Amino acid sequence: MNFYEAEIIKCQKRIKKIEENPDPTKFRSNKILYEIERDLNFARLQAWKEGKPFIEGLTPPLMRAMGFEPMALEISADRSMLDRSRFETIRALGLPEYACDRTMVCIDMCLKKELPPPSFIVSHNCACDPIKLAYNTVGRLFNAPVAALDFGLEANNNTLRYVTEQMGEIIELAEKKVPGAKYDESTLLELQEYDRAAYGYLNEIYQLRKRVPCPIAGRDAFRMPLAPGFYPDPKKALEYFRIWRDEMQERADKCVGAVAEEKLRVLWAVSGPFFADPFSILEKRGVSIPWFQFDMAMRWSGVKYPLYGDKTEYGRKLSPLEEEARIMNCLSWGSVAKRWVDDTLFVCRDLKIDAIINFKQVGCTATIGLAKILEDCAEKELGIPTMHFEGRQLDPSYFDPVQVNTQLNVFVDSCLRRKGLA
Amino acid sequence: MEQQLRGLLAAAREDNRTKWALEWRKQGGKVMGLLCSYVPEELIYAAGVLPWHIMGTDQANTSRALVYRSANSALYCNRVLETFLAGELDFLDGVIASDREQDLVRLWDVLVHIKKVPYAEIIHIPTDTSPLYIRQMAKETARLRKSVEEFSGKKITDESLRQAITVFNKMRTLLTELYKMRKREVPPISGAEAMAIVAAATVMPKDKFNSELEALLPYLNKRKLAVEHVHPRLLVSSDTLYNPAYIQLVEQSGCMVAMDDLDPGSRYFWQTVDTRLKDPVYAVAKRYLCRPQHPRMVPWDRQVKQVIDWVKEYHIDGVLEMPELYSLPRQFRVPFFHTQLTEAGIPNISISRFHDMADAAQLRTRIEAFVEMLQAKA
Repeated sequence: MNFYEAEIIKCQKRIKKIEENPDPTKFRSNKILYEIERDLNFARLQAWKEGKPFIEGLTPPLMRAMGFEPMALEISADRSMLDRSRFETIRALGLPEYACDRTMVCIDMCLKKELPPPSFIVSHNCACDPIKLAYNTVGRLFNAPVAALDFGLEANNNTLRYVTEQMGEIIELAEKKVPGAKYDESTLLELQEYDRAAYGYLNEIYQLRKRVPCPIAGRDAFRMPLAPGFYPDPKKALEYFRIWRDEMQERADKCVGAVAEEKLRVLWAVSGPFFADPFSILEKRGVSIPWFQFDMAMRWSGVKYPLYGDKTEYGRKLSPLEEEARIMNCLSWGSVAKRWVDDTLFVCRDLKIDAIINFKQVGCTATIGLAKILEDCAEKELGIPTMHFEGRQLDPSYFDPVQVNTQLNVFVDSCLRRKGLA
Repeated sequence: MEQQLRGLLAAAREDNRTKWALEWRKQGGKVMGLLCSYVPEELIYAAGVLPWHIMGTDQANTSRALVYRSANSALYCNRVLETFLAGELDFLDGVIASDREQDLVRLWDVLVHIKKVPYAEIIHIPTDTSPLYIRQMAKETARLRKSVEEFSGKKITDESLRQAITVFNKMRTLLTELYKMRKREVPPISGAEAMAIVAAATVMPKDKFNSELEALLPYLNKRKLAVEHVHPRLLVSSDTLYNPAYIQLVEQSGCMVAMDDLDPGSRYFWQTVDTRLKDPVYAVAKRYLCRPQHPRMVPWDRQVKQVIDWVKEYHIDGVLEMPELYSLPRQFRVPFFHTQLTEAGIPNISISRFHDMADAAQLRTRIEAFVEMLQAKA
């Protein structure tokens, strides 16, 4: 069974469960989420059967506007079945199995034909080395054309122009190399409209996170819905965002937060163990987790960084292609430390965060080297402590539940003492 | 002359390499530490500053560095940070890094965070070499030029840059001459010696290096190398391999390292700056971007082609790739490199290594097995 088939079955089961026995503590909008996901995977499966071209490495609206089906390699890995034999396959190939596990797992998924072969790959350095290198690897394994997409170390008009020019050349190359690839600006504009609206809802949800108690449960702080431009039915996907925003508003208005008596507000950074739920440990102690900080988080929620249509960031109106370049140009952790630290501390101030839990994802070249810098700056500039917690997103062999439980509780104890609440 | 050669071979040894920088400072000059060979050195030279490549300690203990970094991250970067934190590089007036790989950017971030150097700069290196990327590299080079001018207090004119290009091109030409001698059945220098000479170029004042090597070349041309094995002939491919003892270990396994794809090695000096180009900044940028590539560059196929060309040119029997553990660009490229070389009919093997020689015994065993396979094939 391939990944899309597995996802369809998973979504269908979840929809059925909601219809038959809805859990009142969970979002009602989850049903529509599983429906759009199910439909996405049906569409991807169909595209695969029909031999339509798949691509990875650009923004979803741009990939669709070029006539491709977006692959979402590492996102697929995030949702895959846990299987340690994948690392053995990776090791046997000579690849570094100690690299970020989601980038390793997606390579294995392609090799095992759980995902379709790519027709075109864009190896970009916007986020991190493992993604850039994994994409290049996948492209080479399947003899797909591989194009580079570089981002500078600062976001300014020079780098915006640089990124936009590269995107233009990539479009030309894709049209030349891949039958059926054809860029359509009107499609891009249409998808950008849907995404702009969705990001607007995310911004509204962000504003709710400022409330005390925080209406977002820890696990839901991790919720990273794909923007409508990713889905074959962007209109329905946008509807999900609207309903989710309404539900969040409703919870906030009724003060139905994740914790009954909020004592601490913690920012969770980078990533986490997808197979476990450390947030429940924290919530039992009265700890809210208003925000999950990762590379695109602030951009997607329009926090500090504006989105489609904004004229202030670059001092002018941007073209449709420049708008896509803007999205990818200098993500929080894709640049030098200053950007990640400034962005994280900005959110800490904005959401009145008391402490940071920084997940040190094994093999993450983007963030492991930032951990101590963030810790030092958070303490110095905001007087808040940071706890580092090492692990892998998909590999439970790094996770000792007893140790994690102890570590989190000790950290909470020390934070409460600092706040005079112990 | 053999004594003079010994002197040059020892120039970049761990116990020796700082003397060039300290002497420079004694004469009132400034020293710029370089963390990457993609940084255009001509700019620094033109500003009257000594460009000095940072190699990192060969000592295994990196406990200071591990406060800021993970043990499972690029070992070169851990070693360099350790050297800084031990105070061994306090003589540096500045440091320039690149975004060659993300681990290197993070090293630079820590140096800035702990305010370890008075001046710290970082440049973006594009990952491909089409005209668009060369233009961007030229912009970065121009930006770096302004930054170095401010740092040094000296204007880098086009004329001074052209003079610097002349000096560096001379270095590259001299090293190319030296490397041509390695095509011989019995080269006059071993692989370890070649690497040590290139490493010397990265820490010595260029004028001095040029005059030393220029004086030695006639001697080397006639030198009879006392060597046990001239076959099989290997090409060694790696990155941040600064210790010639690694190449020595390979050659002691029963072969000759007749060519390399190394930094420092061929990739440091291969290809001169094109002095016919009107804009010296553009010319420098083009050279640095378009020379033989590091695996962080996206076109892996071109990197393999370069190695295949060298295999033919230097009559190589087998390719030994030695990725440094936790250095991701090369580690990710391993399967592609292996497949392509194999399809080209070139015997090859990839053996991961540490930064120091901690794994010497295991390495030797595996290399010996590869060499025996090549001998049997012959």
